[in-house]
Amino acid sequence: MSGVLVYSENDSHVQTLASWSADHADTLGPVSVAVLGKDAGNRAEQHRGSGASRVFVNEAPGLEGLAEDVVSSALAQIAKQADADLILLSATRRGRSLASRLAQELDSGCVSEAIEVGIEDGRLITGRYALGGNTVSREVILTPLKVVAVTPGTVEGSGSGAVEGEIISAELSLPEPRMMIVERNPKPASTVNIAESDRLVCVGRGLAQQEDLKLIEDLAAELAGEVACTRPLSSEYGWVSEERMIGISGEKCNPQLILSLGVSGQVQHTVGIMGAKTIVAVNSDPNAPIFKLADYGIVGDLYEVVPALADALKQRGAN
Amino acid sequence: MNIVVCVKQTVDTAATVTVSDGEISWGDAPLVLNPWDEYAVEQALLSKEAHGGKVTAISLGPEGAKDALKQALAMGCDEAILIKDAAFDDADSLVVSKALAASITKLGEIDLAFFGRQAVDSDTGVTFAQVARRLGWPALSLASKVEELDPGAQTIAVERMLEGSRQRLRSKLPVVVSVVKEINEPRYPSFMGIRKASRAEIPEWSAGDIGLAEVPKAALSWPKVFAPPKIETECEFIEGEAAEEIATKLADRLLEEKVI
Repeated sequence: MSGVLVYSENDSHVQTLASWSADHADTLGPVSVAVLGKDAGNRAEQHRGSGASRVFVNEAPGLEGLAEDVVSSALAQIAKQADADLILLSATRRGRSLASRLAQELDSGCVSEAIEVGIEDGRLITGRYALGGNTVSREVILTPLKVVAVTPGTVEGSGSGAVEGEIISAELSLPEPRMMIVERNPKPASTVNIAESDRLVCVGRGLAQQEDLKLIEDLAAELAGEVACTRPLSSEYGWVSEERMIGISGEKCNPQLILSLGVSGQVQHTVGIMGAKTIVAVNSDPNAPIFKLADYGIVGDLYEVVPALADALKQRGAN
Repeated sequence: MNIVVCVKQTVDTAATVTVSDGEISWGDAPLVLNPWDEYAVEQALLSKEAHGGKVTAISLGPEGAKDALKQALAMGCDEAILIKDAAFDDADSLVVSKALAASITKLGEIDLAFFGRQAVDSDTGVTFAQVARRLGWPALSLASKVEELDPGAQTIAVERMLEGSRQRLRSKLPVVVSVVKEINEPRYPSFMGIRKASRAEIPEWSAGDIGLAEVPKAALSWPKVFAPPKIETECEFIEGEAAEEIATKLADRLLEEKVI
């Protein structure tokens, strides 16, 4: 292939994707990175050593809000300048929408949320969940240009491909943005990024009422972790905010530890915890599917186990 | 306002899906209107109720997809159109988006096109953005609230949630909007709605009808579909007389593993 162009609004995702790409440069070709929007020039510095031989920068005011329509146009132009035939994005919420639009712009095939990325016989092969996590579809993009949004945590780079990338000011002809981001405020106190948390306490339908979330929050505090949930608690009951929901239509996580409390273990949820190192399940039903993928299981009432565990952790000064 | 809602017929999320030798099966579970699309239909209807106009539901699929369109009609859509052509049999999102965009162009003078966030079968969530690009419209993705819709000024503002932030997006019409569950509570079809829908004749548009003389080939091939790999774990059950004892044992094991 002729080259890779890596882009994400998340700088750490960019570094991982660039480093992974550099490890596969024999097949994929030279690695370029695009850094767009506010402060792009300064942010570009950190990507010079991530494996990219070229870092394309543009700080045009129209890119400030990173609206997908303008970013898509910018990336299409930079891909051409970089002679990249593979564009790797991070499958954040914006990244997935951007990948779709960019693929249409380039008339290329698109995989919007890859959970596997590999190279076989010189071809890029991707895998992604379909049918609510019940299947994995392994796909090959047939068009000369390819757009893939990679789920965070899917690939790792060795860092050995680091080079002193050249910073290039990209000449772009950008469309007048039709969509404007008129306000952008960090979320209220609940600001959280489940996908990047190391310790999670995930609660499911076993929780009887919203007031009992306090128990779960106390345990999460002992672990210095975050509270997460299954879909019903967020979408149906509205007890927990949507950005804490784990599963096919929510976040995919890669924590060191996840405590699954009162979670039955339906596949639509468990696809989101496949990246966890250690899974602990507490459920009163010994036949709950969650025990099939847990490392440690406790058959019991979460209302008894959770406070006891919080105490035990406190005594050990776990965090 | 002239509003379009694009819908898909999918397998019910309650169905048991199995994969064997690359063949996917959901037994005799019924096909339904894609659950995420119900929110798109509802938002289209709410927009029409607030500002007047007409809602047209469009789907691409086989004859059976008319059932999904009838569900949309029963909820209150004014018209429905099925895009149906053997040329679309192996269509991927790139092809489907071209067909949907061509249909929207054929309808003409559309202000708003609503989509659900993704279809529960393919789960790609890319079609709305591809249709938007094809039409040269902005796509407001994952909207959880329509804050303003002003047909006079031809503007819309929506809110969406991203990882760690909340955004307010404003755009000129026409625009594509994909919606998440938080945006509304879809209505149940009324008895009258169901009766009306059951009698409705749904027109079919072929590839030629929408001006796609040549249907492009799919940009993706999916050589392999399989059940997700099972994590091979041996669950170590922790037992004891009382919750305290169990909790202590677990805490010790987690410390040994250095995950806390």
